[in-house]
Amino acid sequence: MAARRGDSVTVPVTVTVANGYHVTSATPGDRYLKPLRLSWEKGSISPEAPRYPKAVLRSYPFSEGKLSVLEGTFVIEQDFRIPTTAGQGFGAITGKLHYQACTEKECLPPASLPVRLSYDIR
Amino acid sequence: MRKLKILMATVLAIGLFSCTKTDEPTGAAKLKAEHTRNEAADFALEDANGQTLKLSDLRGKVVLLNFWATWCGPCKVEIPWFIEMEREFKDQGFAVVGVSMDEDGWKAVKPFMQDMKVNYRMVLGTEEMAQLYGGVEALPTSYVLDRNGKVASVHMGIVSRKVFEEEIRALLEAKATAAAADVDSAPLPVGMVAAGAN
Repeated sequence: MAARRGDSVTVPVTVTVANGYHVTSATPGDRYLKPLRLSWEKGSISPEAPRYPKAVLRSYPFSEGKLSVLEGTFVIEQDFRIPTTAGQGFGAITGKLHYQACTEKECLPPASLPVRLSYDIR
Repeated sequence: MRKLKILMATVLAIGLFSCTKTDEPTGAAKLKAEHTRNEAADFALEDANGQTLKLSDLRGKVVLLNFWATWCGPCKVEIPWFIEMEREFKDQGFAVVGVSMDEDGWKAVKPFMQDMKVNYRMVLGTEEMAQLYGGVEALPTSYVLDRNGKVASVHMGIVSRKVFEEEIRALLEAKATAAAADVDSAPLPVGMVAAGAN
């Protein structure tokens, strides 16, 4: 992305979950479940709190009540502030998307995917 | 202050590797023939009470070895079944052993055990131990062991309670039949023979 010092930039992070799977949402409502979480390393640009999409409340054969999940393709909106003191030129900020996925029959261990955003501050 | 919109795509290609496992039939009791069963890998781990649980010490019992985690929804359905099975079959030589794969350890597992009133022994699985059982990529994964410590069935993903109960009953009865045959064919003790001769 290209941005100027003092800008606020919104970066949509598009996530696609494999067919037949769901991931626990950012607000699972159960203390034992692992929420979806996007985290960033420290960098020249400052991430704000991510805005997660609205979760789907879905019943599964294994759940007593409805579970708060995300499935298919969804977007997390991430704002970055470009400090007025940031140095000009190319850079990158890296982060991780932490998730825990299940099917209707089984669950995979919590895992994370690397996320990298390259930028050019002008 | 300007607001820019930038597009960035991250694709979560998750779960693809375990699809083949999910497709395996897990809805019917299917014990392996006795001569094809392999010995379950032994391990010794500390249980929730701080005592060492050595799998091979449970030889002589039918054992349900259940890999699970607190964050696993399907696992939570099976746990109340296991609690009841432990209660129902314990006196017939049956034991459930839970192996939690929670990365947060006892801090996560002990409160969960209390909430669920778990009545069977629990250990924390390790990476090394999981490797002995094929890596345990997805949860729940359960191994049903016969009285000789051999793997009679493996279930990946949630299984019906009926399937577990059928398998456990069959394995418990197998021992009862063998024991009865042994008594019938066993030679009488010397003392009894002497008493009968008079």
